[in-house]
Amino acid sequence: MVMTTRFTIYSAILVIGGGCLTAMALTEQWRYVARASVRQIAADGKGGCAYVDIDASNWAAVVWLNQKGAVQYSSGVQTGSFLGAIINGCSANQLLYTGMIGFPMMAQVDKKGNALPVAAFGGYVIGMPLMMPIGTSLLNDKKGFFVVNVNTNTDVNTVVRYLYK
Amino acid sequence: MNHRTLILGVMLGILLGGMHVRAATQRWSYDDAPMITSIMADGSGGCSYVRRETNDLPSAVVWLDKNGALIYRADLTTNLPITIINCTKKQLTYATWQDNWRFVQVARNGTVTPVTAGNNTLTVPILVLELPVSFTTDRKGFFGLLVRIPSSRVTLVRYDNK
Repeated sequence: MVMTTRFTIYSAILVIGGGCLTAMALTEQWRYVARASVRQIAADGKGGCAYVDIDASNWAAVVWLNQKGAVQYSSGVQTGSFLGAIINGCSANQLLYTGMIGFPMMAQVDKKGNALPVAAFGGYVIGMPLMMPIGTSLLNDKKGFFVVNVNTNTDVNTVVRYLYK
Repeated sequence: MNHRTLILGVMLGILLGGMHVRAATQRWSYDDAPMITSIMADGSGGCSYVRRETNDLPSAVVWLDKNGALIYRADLTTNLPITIINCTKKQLTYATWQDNWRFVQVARNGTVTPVTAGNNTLTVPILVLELPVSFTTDRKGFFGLLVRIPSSRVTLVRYDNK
């Protein structure tokens, strides 16, 4: 009887403890090695994200990764300006960013990776005021979040997707 | 150099203007401001924003509905950051410094309600000391800024995603 009670208590503790540990653990889902230093990440709300990287020459690139970590769109390196690029919005259906290909230009990218300019007569369109802080990051969604893993020996930046459990 | 920049800019504007039907659709535009420093989408097609004059004074908070019609405008006398805390189609909350911390909520009918604080306390959003952040998208579209050539004055533009 004593043995059974003790076994029951131990089992309950184990279940509770194990349950807590499971709930608290994070799971790495995927990772993607970036071309250069990542300076903005925008979660798309469905497990993917877009990010801006900027290299030693101050040339920027915008990359959109889907929920499996595969490239959905890449702007290529924008060598026309040192002002970089800013992600203005990212959802599962579209990416909005302001690039600086010698001049500021807002682009709308569909989920097939087709980029189109956002424009109006009389000037050029940018996606947000160019005031600091620009290009704020949104790192999380309902199921997980994104971080940048930096190799301190090589400075290689890797975008890492974690699930909350 | 200035002429070349101007010509290139105009050509770009015309070129991209002609291409715009293939991408997002412009729904409405508003203002001809020297500077817009912050945009906060209300999630329903409208937004509020902060505009400034070139000398940084005066500045104003402007709230527009989903049709681009003015709901509320407050012209302030501060050159300190104006922080829009939150904007929905029903209310706007913002903070700035004018004689004292001024932290108010504005109803859809334009009624302004100060957020009060107890004696010897201040009710201040933590962001008030930081420069403004913009949130420019909602489910159906987004906001952009048309920077006019050659004046560099700025117009707020509402686009639908398609």
